[in-house]
Amino acid sequence: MWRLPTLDGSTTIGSMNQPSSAATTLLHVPLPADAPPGVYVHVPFCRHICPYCDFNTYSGQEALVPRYVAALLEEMRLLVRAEPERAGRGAPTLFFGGGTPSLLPAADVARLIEGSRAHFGLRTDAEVTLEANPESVDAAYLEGIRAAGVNRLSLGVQSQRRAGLRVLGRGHKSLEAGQAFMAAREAGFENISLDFIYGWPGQTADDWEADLATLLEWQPEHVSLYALIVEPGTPLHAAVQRGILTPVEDDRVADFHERALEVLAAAGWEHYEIANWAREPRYRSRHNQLYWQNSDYFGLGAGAHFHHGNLRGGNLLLPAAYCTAVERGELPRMATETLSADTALGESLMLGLRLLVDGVGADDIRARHGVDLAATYAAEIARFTALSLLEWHAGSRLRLTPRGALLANEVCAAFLR
Amino acid sequence: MIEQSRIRNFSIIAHIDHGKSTLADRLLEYTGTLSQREMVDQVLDSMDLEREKGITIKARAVRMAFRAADGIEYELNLIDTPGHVDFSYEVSRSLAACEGALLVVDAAQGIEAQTIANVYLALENDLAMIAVINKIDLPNAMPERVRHEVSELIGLLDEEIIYASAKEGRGIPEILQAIVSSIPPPSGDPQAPLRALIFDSHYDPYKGVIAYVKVVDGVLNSGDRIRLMATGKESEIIEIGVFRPNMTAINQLSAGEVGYIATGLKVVRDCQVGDTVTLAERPAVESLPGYRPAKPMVFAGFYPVDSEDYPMLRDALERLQLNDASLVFVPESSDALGFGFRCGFLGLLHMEIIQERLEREYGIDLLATAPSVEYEVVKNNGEIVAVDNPSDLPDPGEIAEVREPYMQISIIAPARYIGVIMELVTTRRGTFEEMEYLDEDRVHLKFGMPLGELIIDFYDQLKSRTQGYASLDYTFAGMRAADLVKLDVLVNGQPVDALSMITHRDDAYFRGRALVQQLRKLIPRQLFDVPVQAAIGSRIISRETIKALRKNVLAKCYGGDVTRKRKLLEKQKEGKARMKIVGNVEIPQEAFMAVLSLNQDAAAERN
Repeated sequence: MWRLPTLDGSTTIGSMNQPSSAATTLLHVPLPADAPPGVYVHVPFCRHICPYCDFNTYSGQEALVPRYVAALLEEMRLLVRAEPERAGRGAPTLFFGGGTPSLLPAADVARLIEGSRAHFGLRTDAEVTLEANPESVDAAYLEGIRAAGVNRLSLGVQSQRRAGLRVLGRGHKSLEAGQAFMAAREAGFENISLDFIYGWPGQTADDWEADLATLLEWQPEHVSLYALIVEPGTPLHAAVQRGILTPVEDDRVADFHERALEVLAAAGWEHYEIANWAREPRYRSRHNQLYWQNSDYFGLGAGAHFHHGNLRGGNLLLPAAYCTAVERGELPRMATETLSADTALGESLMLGLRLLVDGVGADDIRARHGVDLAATYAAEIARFTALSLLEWHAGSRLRLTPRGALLANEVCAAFLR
Repeated sequence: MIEQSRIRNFSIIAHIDHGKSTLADRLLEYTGTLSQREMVDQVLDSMDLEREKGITIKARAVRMAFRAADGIEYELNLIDTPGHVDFSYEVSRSLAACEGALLVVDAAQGIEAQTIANVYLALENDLAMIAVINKIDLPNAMPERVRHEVSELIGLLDEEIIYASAKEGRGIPEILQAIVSSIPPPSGDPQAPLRALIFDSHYDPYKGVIAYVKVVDGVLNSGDRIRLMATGKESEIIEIGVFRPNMTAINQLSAGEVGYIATGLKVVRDCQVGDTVTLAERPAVESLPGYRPAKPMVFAGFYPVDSEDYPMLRDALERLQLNDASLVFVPESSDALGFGFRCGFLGLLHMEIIQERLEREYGIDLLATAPSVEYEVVKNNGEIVAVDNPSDLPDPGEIAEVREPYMQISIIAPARYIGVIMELVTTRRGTFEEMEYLDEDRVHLKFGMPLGELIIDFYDQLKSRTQGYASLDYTFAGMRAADLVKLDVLVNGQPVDALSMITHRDDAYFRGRALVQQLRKLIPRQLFDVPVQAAIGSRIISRETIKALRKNVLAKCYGGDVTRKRKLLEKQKEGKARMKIVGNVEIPQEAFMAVLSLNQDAAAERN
């Protein structure tokens, strides 16, 4: 009775209270326990570390790349040996995230895609995304990875304002981002996502207006707009602590968010997740949706995370330690957590509510967790619907309102037990 | 049994930090009561908290043997006194058990307010005084000047003033010799019926209440049956003994001696400081003078942060009470805070100590309301009720008069601070009474002031405005009528009982405004606009609005690291769980103490 989403978004599943768009339907398919997992590959290398970043990234270790790629291929073999059944289901997505995946030579990207086909049965219609920094790609490279099978490019533009690029410590100039985008188009990428960051110290309403205008002008298929988070332990945090930089006030950041809502809605974009917009529903990020649907995924590479049923865990953080473990023939795991039924349910809510169009379906929750959504969370739902932060959509789908989207933490935290 | 003529009972009077503990250590060391090896620093302050706060909470008594210049061995009993004004009654009883006192004064600081108060207590008890000018090793010591100050205060002979440095061990033999030659021996009648003064007590889980006593008349033998004259309790003695400094059992304590009685009683309340112990078989006719039951002056609500800790809090308070006759508590409930206890204390420090012990020794997460005093409300029908919780104040229509405890306060400070002190005192409804120059630079100021004003941040303000130079002492001076009103706080339209305060009508507007402004900063933004109002009766006197929160969202995916995201949310949720919910609004704990930091703002407002 379950059917899998396909690349063209044409699949419809017969569930009640059918929303109008077929693509919308596709995306809220409850994933059964035997749904094929997506594959995430972490590339933890960067030329330099951006001052706001607290991801698992390292600079000056590019020399490790060949060894690291070999280790990734070996980890695929180890995973297949450990979980032949799960690996054999045919992966619907492959995502190269970082760090800076575009630091991998195109030939290595090709070998890893090849490896994913061989070991995880990566489907021919799979979404294959690679994150790239504008300064690390040129026409030849883009053609190379396109030929290798990357069909979705996620470009880290962050801002086209000079002040923004400077305060975010980005390694590229605004001109380079435009060139990279054009080159990607020329290389044949028809599904490009752009990342922008807003709320950076010093950002004015005009700065944001200009970035939004750039975005509309370029016409990518997908955008992620991230409000800057000053993460403890980052140089940005230190600068804020010492009073060198002043973060934009939360209320102003909320203004920026709301302005983005207006601009993109007027241009006909779909705001399908808190920080993500698709020009058309079929351009939603399928891989990231696996996260929000609380689905399974493999995580390969240093510090990558996986989710298998009621298990969550991650790999060793340091690239060299990761390689050494794999070379010894061990799965490079750091820790694995077994989720209780309550936690798993809470996670389904916490993640699913981020999907602003689909929300969380009562049927999906019953099928997945065996509980009645409305009854289990009667108090929480009553409280947040009264505050207009949550709404029932199409009768049985619970989702955040636009105001609720900005207060998602407040709502989601209440659903954790 | 030693002859009375060879006993000397003495106390040490000193301001905090003037070196009392170090001096006591040196005396023990010099007399060989403790060898250097056994010597733990500051033996007398045995509670951790005391050592940290640098004050002595529980008095103790130590027996020392000292061979004087005449070649005779004397028995010296050092009775330690608490060093804080909250415990002035305990001090007075400790002094009453002595025939003499060492007045220890810091050679760099000079005499402080509490020291003077205690000197007067000592003089009232007819104690012989020896002045010790301590810390003469300090580079900024002014021993001559301090000597002059001391002579002005109490006329002393030259040999009764000793220069010392307890830290370096200087002056110790001279002090011991002066104790023998200047302090008279006790003069009780060993043949008379037993009368022993209780100057302290503590609860021992194995032996019950241990009373610290000075036998004034008669003789006490182990196995005697005792009677406490004020409480009427009788009990079979389990053990008697002396402190050397550890408890050492002996068979007999006779007139003039200091020691302990393991009374076999179960709670210290039955064995109060100041009470007289006599024999059940042959009771004394008259008890010793000066007994006063412990009377709490400061009150606050103590609530467990987690309501499930309520039974634990009750048990902990009961246990602390075993050891502390001045701690009182009754269950109370608050709309805002749930179930807790209204506790009564001798003063603010006493409250702080209990609060810290509950948190530290019993591991209870505690929420304390702002301290209050006990008001006397005369109703129109003539009935008089005591109100120790502001939210219990009767309806204004029923009130004929409200009386509040009034204190006599005494401040010693350098003369250059007279202006700021006067200003501080007058903004607290204080009235100037008297000023006296101790020397060309230091003044002794006396004021009258309501206790309710004194307990809200007054001491901290005094210290900060005088750069720490002022010292403070106060005593209860009776109840006085004043034009007092209850100030209520409404959050989201709901009165928050734990935030109500009683204030003078003239201050109500400023305090109300300062309080709502403070709360606006302390209460986090909620998911909707929250009005915060101050009201007297039904009249709103001030209002602020906490605007609704607009943004709290995690942007990033963290590459599938869902656990991290969940942990972040769980942490946010935990933070909320520690808040109290009133009228749908989450109120953090700090908000309930907001009243404490008000006066500063209100004063700034007025200027």
